[in-house]
Amino acid sequence: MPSMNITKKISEIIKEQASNDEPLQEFILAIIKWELSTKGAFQFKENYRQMIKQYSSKWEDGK
Amino acid sequence: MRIERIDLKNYRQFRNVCVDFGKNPKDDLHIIVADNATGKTNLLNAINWCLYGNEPHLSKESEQLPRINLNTLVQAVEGTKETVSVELVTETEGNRVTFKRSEEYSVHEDGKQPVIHDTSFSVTYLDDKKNAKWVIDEEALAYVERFVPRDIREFFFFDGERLDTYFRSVTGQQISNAIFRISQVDTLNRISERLENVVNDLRREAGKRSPQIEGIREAIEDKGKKRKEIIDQIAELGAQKKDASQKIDELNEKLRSIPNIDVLQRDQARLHDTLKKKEQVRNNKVTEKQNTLFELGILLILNPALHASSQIISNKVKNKEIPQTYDSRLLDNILITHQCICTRRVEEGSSEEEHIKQLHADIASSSLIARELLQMISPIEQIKRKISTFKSELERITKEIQLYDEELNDINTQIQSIDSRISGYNVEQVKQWYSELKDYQRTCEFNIERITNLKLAKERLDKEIDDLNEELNKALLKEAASQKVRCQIVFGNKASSVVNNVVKTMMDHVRKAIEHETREGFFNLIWKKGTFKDVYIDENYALHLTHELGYECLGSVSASERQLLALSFVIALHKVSGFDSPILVDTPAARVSGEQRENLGKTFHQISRSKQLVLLFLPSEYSVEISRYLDTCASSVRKLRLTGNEREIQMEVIC
Repeated sequence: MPSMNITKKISEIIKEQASNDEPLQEFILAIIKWELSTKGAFQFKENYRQMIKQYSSKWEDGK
Repeated sequence: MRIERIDLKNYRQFRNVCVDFGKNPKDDLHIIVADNATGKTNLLNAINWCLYGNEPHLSKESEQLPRINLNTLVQAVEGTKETVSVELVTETEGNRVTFKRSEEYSVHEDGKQPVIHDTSFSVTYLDDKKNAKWVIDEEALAYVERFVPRDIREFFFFDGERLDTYFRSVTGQQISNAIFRISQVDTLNRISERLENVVNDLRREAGKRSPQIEGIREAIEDKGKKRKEIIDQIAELGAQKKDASQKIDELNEKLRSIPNIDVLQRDQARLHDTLKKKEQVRNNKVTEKQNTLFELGILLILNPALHASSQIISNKVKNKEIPQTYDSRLLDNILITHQCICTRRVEEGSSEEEHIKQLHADIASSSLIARELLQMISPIEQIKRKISTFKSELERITKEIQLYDEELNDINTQIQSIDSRISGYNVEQVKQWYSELKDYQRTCEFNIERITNLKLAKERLDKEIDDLNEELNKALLKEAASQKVRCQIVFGNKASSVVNNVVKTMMDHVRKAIEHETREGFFNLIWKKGTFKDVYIDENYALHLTHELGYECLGSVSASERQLLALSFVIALHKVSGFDSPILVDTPAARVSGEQRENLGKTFHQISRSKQLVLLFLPSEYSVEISRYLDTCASSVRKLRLTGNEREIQMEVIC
């Protein structure tokens, strides 16, 4: 299995790059999780649109 | 993941063989010894076929044969079906996971190739609730990817003969691809691309509501395409630069102890030219000496006469025997005017006139003799002085010739020295290498310059795209109906930007982590302590080994040391990636001899304490230097041999 250290490190960098922006952090982690679980084999547009819709709304509300 | 067992049924020479990899408490080292064409490499192929469905190490002979065992094929009844299968039973994260690939063949009459009737691939494992799960096809392949990804399998199962040339064959590109895969940068890049795609769709959607928005969108899309083109160009030039850098390293390695023949030959030509000029000057000096000697010879012969003449004149001068010189103009005047100084007339034809004429002749003669005698004194003295300086003149010329001779000898020694430095080398080959080196250096310099310019162009485009996005944002703010889309576009852009930054940071992080682990592993395992200074992976993902004295030495170290570095790198890759799979090496010591084999044996033993290691040796390779060490610590030693008709393999357990 890919090292937990790698996953942990990616999370750390995302948190660092999107500091104080939890919806953005959550969105990117959710997208990564989806990509890793499906290996990108399925239609992505619908899922991406849905997730952008969901998290951007949360993001806008938190402003 | 460790392999517990491999079951091979009808797979090539393995008609029915089970290789059990039970380990002893300390070591997980397994030795398989087999002659060439006795299934050693096909065991490696069997694992690859089972997990990935192909056989990357197949020999040309095997490529011509069906995968199904030939004895099975010959003995099969026409119209029946026979199955080829490889089952890999593994222990993965505390669970038993079984990978199985099968291929069913329809057997036809003799002389016809068997037809593959059906293929299947499955994975059996226990889920989180300890329920047995059985997955097939895409799901099963995804399961393999979780443990030993296909893209980086060459870092797990490989041909040992390649270990020696590992860093030449595994280029920086392959290493960077592995790092991409390990650091999940491939996934992150895919996310970035897809986000960009979806955000473009959102912009297009917004553009339908206003021509102004559509105009900005088109401008963003246009600049985005240009940006992509620039990124592709940078990548292409970067790849060329990497290749050129690698070639430069290889050529520098080849040329490290070889003199620059081109430069030496130019020096030699210059020396030959100088030699020619100096020889000419020296020859002129020799001629000068010969002329001087010739002249001296004559003067030396004349010297007694000259000396005597000089003496005679001196004596005559001393004894006042040299007549006075008279002015004949008085007599001339008398003869012209026919009048004496006493005014008496001197008649023409008179005895007086005859007397004066005689006197005039006598005076002229004695004056001439006196003058000539006196005039002789100066040249004689000059000649005498010249004779006296001849010796020093001759010495001067001789000395000059000697100096030229010394100089010529020195030049000849330099020419010979260059000859001896060049001799023994294939001059044309070396010149070719130097010429290639120059070309690759030029390519590198040119590409660096182009990449720098393209990066500046990309930065300008980034800024322009940012400005356009800002403009789009403002335009969307004016459209009440576009607020949600505007928010989604801004959010998507922000996410894309963060993902791109994560990619850069992760690549660097993983590269440094692998570099650190490789360095630690190498210095821990190396038997020549104090010989090497550093191991590092440069920004082009090329691995470097530095000698204690500071020079790059990857190309000049022994085969076993290079193998050790390759193994350290592979283990580092496993450790950092978390894809902790076995290492299976075919012919691991083929290029190593003598004492180095024992060192390599000890290294394998040390590695096997923390990782499953399967080594496939040729009998000649498994020589006493290595076997006396590995026989005592290996968990298993087996021998493969072909049966009588050479179509089946039997396995013999040695220990």
